[in-house]
Amino acid sequence: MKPLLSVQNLKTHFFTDNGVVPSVDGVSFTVNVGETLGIVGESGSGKSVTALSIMQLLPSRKGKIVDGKILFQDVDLSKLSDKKMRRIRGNEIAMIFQEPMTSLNPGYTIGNQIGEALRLHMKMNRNEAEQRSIDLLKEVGISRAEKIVRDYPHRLSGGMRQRVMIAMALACNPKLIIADEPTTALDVTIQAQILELIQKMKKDSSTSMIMITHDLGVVSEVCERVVVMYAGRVVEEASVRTVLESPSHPYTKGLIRSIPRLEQDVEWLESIPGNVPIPSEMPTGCKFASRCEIATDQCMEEEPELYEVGPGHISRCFLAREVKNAITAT
Amino acid sequence: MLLPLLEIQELKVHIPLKSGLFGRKYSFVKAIDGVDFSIYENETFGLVGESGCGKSTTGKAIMRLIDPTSGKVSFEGKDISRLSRKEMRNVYKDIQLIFQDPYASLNPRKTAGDIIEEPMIINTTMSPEERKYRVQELLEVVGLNAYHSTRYPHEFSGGQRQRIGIARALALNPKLLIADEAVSALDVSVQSQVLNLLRQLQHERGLTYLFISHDLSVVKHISDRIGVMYLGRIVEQGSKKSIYKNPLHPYTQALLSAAPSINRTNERERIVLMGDLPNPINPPKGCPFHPRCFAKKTECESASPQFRNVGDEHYVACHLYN
Repeated sequence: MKPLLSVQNLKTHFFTDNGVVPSVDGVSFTVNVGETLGIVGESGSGKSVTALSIMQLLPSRKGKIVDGKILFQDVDLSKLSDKKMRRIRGNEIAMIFQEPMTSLNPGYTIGNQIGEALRLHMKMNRNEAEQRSIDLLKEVGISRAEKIVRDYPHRLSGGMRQRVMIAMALACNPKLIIADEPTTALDVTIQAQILELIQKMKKDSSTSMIMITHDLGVVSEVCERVVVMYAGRVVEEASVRTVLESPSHPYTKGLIRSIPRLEQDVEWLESIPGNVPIPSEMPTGCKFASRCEIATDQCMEEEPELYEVGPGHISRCFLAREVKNAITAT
Repeated sequence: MLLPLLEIQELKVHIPLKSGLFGRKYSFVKAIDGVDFSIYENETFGLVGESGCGKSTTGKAIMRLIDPTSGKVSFEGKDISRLSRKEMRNVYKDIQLIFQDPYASLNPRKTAGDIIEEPMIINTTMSPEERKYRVQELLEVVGLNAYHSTRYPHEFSGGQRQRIGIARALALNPKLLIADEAVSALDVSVQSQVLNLLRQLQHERGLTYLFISHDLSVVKHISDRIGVMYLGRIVEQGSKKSIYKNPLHPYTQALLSAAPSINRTNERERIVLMGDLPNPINPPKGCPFHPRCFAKKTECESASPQFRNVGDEHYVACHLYN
């Protein structure tokens, strides 16, 4: 089966006054039809920049895709003109942003903002767009949709606004939805509501999804496959259960162990020493080597590639490769 | 019986809202509406709840950054809720606050050394040499190096900044530290470093913490006893074990089941609450949780439940346990 989206060796660099920042440096992954892919990483790992690159929403002067392809249904989005991209954005690929408080325009009604995509892409008139907006609001679980559709965003709570954002994303029945930390700004009980809604949406349609988050708990609940990013690179990719239960890369292992868990009691948490390297002081070898407890001299000098360590499981670590080789040798 | 280090009784903070012509009509946001709890020496009391439940306001009211409307805050047996600003300064030697945002809570124009030194200049008679020595000592205590003292906040990462905030809070050797969402802005790998640091400091210095957070697993990890807040009140309180093993209040149950878990083997029946947090200007009558409650009885709509001990120092405010 052909993937819906295939990102190949994507490099997005930012050109700042203090030099070039390689935020995304050679990232590849695919999203299949109907699949939910999680992209996990800490701040500065390049996960949001990857999303903005796919959507062609990078700040135009500073951020540039310097290499790689973004194939969406065999069309390279990175080569499209602004005009052609506009036909895809919000229509075939939609995005849900992190901040429901700031990503709605306070000056327009809810209906107007949901309807914008409908009028633009589906060529609906005002009344049709409003009627469809009401249906969408009902679909995402907003009661009194007929009234809310004429309200302004400030009248809604954070959870309601995030529902509106989801309704907007669903408006044109997109083939792919990119959700960038959709529940991070929400309270736990509201987060549970939104995650339930996202799961329901997935069940009802064949929409594919990229879920970008730092929260492995969220990944565990909604994703099928996960890409773990660190310092602008993919360091591990596998099915959700494999990543969470038998991770291969030392960074993924450390990340999972640092989470305090409700179901266990420990005196001390394991943690990853040090901090994410800043772009101007990026080490030459493995980007994680300085924080890695099992790093060797080779890790300091040479950057590992992504090695296959199991079926559909790849890891950017020399040691993971050796373990795998040892297993196949015996 | 052991005397609590900090005792809060019937604490209320009502914030007036002016409206109408000339701002004559008043209504009140009942940010905290009758909160009681005690913290004993060398323990960690966790205060957990969602945004707007009043957990941060509780911390601020103890520190007198907001003046309480009524109620008592006793520190070492002395009521500090009515002290003047000047008298409060003495109390600040014993109670210090660690703030949430390590980016906003450090003055960008001062070096890390200056930031940590400031409380000593204000509150002690230490000589400049003594203070300098102490700054270096504190930097090492929180896992930074003495040479960091001449650097500015922007040169540090988020986790390191939070360590500076902790060093500043420790400068006066306080007895009680109030940590308001102290690790919420940090990435998980760094968050665990800071949580371990807080625990290590507690072991070494016999510190007492009031740990305020929205994150249930973090609160569970660090606390001995926990209070769950909803709409300005504590709805359930007890030891960590009793709250997490045997949550009684429907809100606590929902909160615990709502937290996404990476463990699938531990599949729980998820309780998804309907609706949002009610408006604290006009809280629902009766039990404030009843509009979202899945176990609601008729009396919940009219009568406010008593906060009662259901055994083993486990308290709950819910009509189900009468």
